[in-house]
Amino acid sequence: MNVIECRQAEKKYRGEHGILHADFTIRENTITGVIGRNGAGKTTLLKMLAGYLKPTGGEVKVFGERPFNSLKVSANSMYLDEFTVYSDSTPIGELFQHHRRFYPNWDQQLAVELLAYFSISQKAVRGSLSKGQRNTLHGIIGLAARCPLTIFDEPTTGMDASVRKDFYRALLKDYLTHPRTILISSHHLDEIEDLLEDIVLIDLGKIILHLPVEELKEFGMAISGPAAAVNNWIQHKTVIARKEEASGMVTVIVKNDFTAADKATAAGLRFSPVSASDMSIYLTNREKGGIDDVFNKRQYS
Amino acid sequence: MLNPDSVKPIYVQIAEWLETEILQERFKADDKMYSQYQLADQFNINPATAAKGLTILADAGILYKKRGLGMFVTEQAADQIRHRRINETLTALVSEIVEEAAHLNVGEQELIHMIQQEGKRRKGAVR
Amino acid sequence: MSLTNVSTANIIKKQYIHKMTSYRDAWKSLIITQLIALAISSFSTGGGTTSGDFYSINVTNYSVDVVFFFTVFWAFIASFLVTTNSYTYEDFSYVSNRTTSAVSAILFVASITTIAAIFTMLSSYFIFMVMYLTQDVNILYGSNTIGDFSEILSSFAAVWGYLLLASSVGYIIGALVQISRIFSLVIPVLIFLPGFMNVQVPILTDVVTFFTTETSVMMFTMKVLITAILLFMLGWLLSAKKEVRTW
Repeated sequence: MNVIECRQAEKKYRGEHGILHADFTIRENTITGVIGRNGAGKTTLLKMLAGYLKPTGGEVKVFGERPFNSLKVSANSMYLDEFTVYSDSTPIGELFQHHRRFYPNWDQQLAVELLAYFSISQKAVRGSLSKGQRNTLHGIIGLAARCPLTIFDEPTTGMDASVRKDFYRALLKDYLTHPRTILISSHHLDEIEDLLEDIVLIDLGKIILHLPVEELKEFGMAISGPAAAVNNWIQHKTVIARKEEASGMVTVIVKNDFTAADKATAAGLRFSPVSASDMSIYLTNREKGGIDDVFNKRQYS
Repeated sequence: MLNPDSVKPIYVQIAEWLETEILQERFKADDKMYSQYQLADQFNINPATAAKGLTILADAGILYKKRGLGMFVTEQAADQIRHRRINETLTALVSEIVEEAAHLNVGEQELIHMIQQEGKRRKGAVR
Repeated sequence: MSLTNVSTANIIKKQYIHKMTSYRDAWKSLIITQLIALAISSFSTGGGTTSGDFYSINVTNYSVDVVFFFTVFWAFIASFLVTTNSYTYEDFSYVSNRTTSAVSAILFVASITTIAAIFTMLSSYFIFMVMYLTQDVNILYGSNTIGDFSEILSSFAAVWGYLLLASSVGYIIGALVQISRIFSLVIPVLIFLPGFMNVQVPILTDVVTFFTTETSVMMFTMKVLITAILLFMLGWLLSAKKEVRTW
């Protein structure tokens, strides 16, 4: 069953791209990573799914309904980020009680124990928490509410490395015992890739890839060697990125759709796999090349 | 046990780890294999990835499925893994060694001697 | 994971409970407003002394008008604030749609207004009691305090009516400002400019006389209720298309 179905979904702001022609579906009980640079449109997409923002075109459906103004979607989904609005003068213990009232699957014991594990007092008011602690609290709420659709938008901003690790571990463990549909956005894929089943890659408001994360790891290959040999071999192949090195060597990232026979003709070239995280960066790079090019241009001008 | 930086996809690493478990006789014929959820918990990975590792082994005839009960180890699993590793992994390694030895002008006798020395060193280390 | 079925009425109830228990600032500000107003009221607002050969009468007036006007102002501000983003967005952090958010807010505003009206009534008794205990007086007479039940009821209806009007006006202005910041400029200009320029705006004076000249308590209450309901409903309609957390 599909929990989310988007057809040509679009959200335009004045002069901004927002989200354009989003066509995708999310299956029930999967963990999907929404990956893109800052400003790529991740938050806009997720807020449309949560019913916060109204699409300006196309169709967005969650649990078979348009999420904007749907009580059913609101009751069965949760969107959490750094800015989630809760009264700053409310003690955390009381915040938990409010959630308990609204969410029938709320696990009070889990909430209390996780809060204690992360050394946050139930008596503390939310306004007194640091940014990292606030995100930890929102993460705990997202887990304990056990909503059929839970959306974490950059959940680990400001958290210590060890807290990040613990949070993602807690998320996986709770998912194993209570499978549900989870979306996590991040601009650091390497931090969450093992946790994910699928990945949605967004750039400039467009969904450029939606595939299992294991397939992204095999999506491309890095080929390096002397410039002439590389250039010769990559004719008629899909080049994703290219990096020139000072020694006259070239590394090219190509789509991994060539045959073994193809590979056999590449004498003297070195083939190496590209990690999912690097691949996502190559795919969302504005220009082919990279940060080095900025400095190269400088040197020669 | 898993190497996140490895070239190999996680699910291949899971399959290989399970094969080693069978080779070391931690699982015998008709034993129930770990579930995708146990593997996911143990290796901190998505259960779908773990399931892919189990599927590789099922496709290779090392595991079989019992409806509603999970995956079990087949009769010939250990033999099959051993044979395949000799034919594929070991053969590939030998070819690499021979190739490298040729580059370095190391003769066949010298290579065999090196292998024997390594064997002795290991036995010594075990004692 | 199976989906939860919810009804609009049930969510309105939950949001109402949430608002009554967690909007601390509304309660705090009510108590502070009343205390300040009471303190001001306990200075006398007038009086006089009459004396003859064998007697001297000292008349002092105490009035809770200050409490009333302060509370009307409070009702306006509190209702205005309830429409702001920091309150409405919180609804969407839990379970909500625009209807449940607006209806529960209106119910909340109506409830605190009623409680504020009761407080305002009690404050006149309170002043009365304080004077009785602290002043060396022989005769106490209160215009609204001592009286039969119907008298108390009608003065309560008047207090409650004006408070409800103030809060419904606060609510509708708040809803307008949420739609466009321009209203936060336009509305004060529309209200105060005629006063400054000494111009009589017919509609404005009509509105004032519509309520203030009504002599029947029943009619007054009806007028207030209908006006308040219309204003609240208009505010609700204005919020029906609002997006949440556009930042």
